[in-house]
This record gives sequence, C-alpha cells and structure tokens, in this order.
Amino acid sequence: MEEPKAFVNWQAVQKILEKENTKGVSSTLLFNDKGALLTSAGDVSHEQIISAIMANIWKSYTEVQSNIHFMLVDCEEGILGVSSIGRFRLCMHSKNYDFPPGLLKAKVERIVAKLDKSLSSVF
Amino acid sequence: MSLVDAAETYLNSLAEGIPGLLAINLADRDGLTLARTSKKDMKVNSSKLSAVFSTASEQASKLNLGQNSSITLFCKDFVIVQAAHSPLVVTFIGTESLNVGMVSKVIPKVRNKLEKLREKVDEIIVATS
Repeated sequence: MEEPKAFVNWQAVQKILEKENTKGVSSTLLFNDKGALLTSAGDVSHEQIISAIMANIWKSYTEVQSNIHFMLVDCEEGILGVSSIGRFRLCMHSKNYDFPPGLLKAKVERIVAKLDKSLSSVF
Repeated sequence: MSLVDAAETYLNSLAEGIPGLLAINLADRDGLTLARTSKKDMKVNSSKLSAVFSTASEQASKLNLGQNSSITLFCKDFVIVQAAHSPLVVTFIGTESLNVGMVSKVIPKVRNKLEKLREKVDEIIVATS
C-alpha cells in the first residue's frame, strides 16, 4: 500500500466542507478514487452509496475522456457535482432538483481551490 | 425520409442555434452512432462516451435522487452534455463556451422529437433479445 507523503488535518477539511453547506446543499463528501469515504458534511444518510457510485462514474468517464475537471449529474429529484483533488474526489449534492447548477459548480470549485495544495501533496 | 435521416436533419437545424456547439451525436446504449451533425474529427470519442453514459446513468439512478436525466462533463477544451432517452443517448459536444443552460432547455424538445425513433430502436432491441 502506498504510504502518504503528508498528513491531513481532517478537522480543518471538514470545517471547509461545512462552510459551503449553505441553504439547498444537502451534503458535501470527500472520498478517495476507490469510493472510500474520508469525511463529509451535511445529510449523511446515503454518503457511502453516493461516494461509491460517484467514484465509479468518474473513473469510467476518465478512462475514455481526458482532462475532465468537473462533472454534473442531473437527476429527477436532485443534482450532484463532482471534481477531483489529486487522488481524492469531492462531491456536493442537493436534493432540490431546482438547485442552480452554476452555483453548485462554483461552490465545488471554491472548495477544490482551498484544498488543492494540501490534498494534492498527500500521495 | 427514414426516421434516422429525419433525426439527423432535425439535429442539424438545432445545432445551428446553440452558441458554442460543435456537434450533436445520437447513439444507442451500446455506443452505436445512429446520427450525428458534424463529420469533423474532434478529440472526443462520442461512441465510447455514449456506451459509458448508459452504465453511468443506470448507476446514477440508484443515488436515491430519482432517475438520472443527464450528465455534463467540463473538460479542458470541451463541454459535453449527455442526455438519457433510453435506449438512445444524445451527446452535445461544445467548446468551453458552450451555453449549457440553452442545451438543458432544448433537451426535453429533443426527447419529444426523437420519440418515434426511440420507440423503433426499443422495438428492435426487444425483438432481438
């Protein structure tokens, strides 16, 4: 198993996720490229399922299309936005299907910008 | 005019009205292209993307958020919007400045217009399975 090259202050990471969980956002999840959940903020009732499925969807797409930096998944009853930070994946979701996708993207990108330096150097 | 030719004509006229749009590809769930608007070689394999979308959409429909309707990819040089119309997959490929909001608005109209073709492809899949 590959050893991490840096430590992560997970409490600080969680605070950053919680800060973006404003009205309309159901939860924000941080997981690894295999779908194992690392930390989350908000409604955590389906976090394991979401992280596993979204990690798999991200992996499937990146095998056929290069340089994906953000993915939006639109469903009948909600919306999800996913981005990657090194070998980690960040997913924000809303159970409100009307939640503005542009706002979701901006929020995810803001978190990615804050965490990029620290998480990209872990592996 | 066949259903596929009619679909291609319709998609061609639609493509002209969306800023930033490079091509629209219509495929079945296995990635087999039925119609497309641009014959240019882009660095996007819409056939493989359609096949991936079918599985991804099925998985996304298990997220307790209802059925998946579309997946949008923001890449370095492209924006790709894929819409479900099972067993058809409609893929919109655009530049980074593609008006994604406009694409989202036309998707229901596209589904409506392609309904007869969708039913025909579905019939063929059922008959051959």
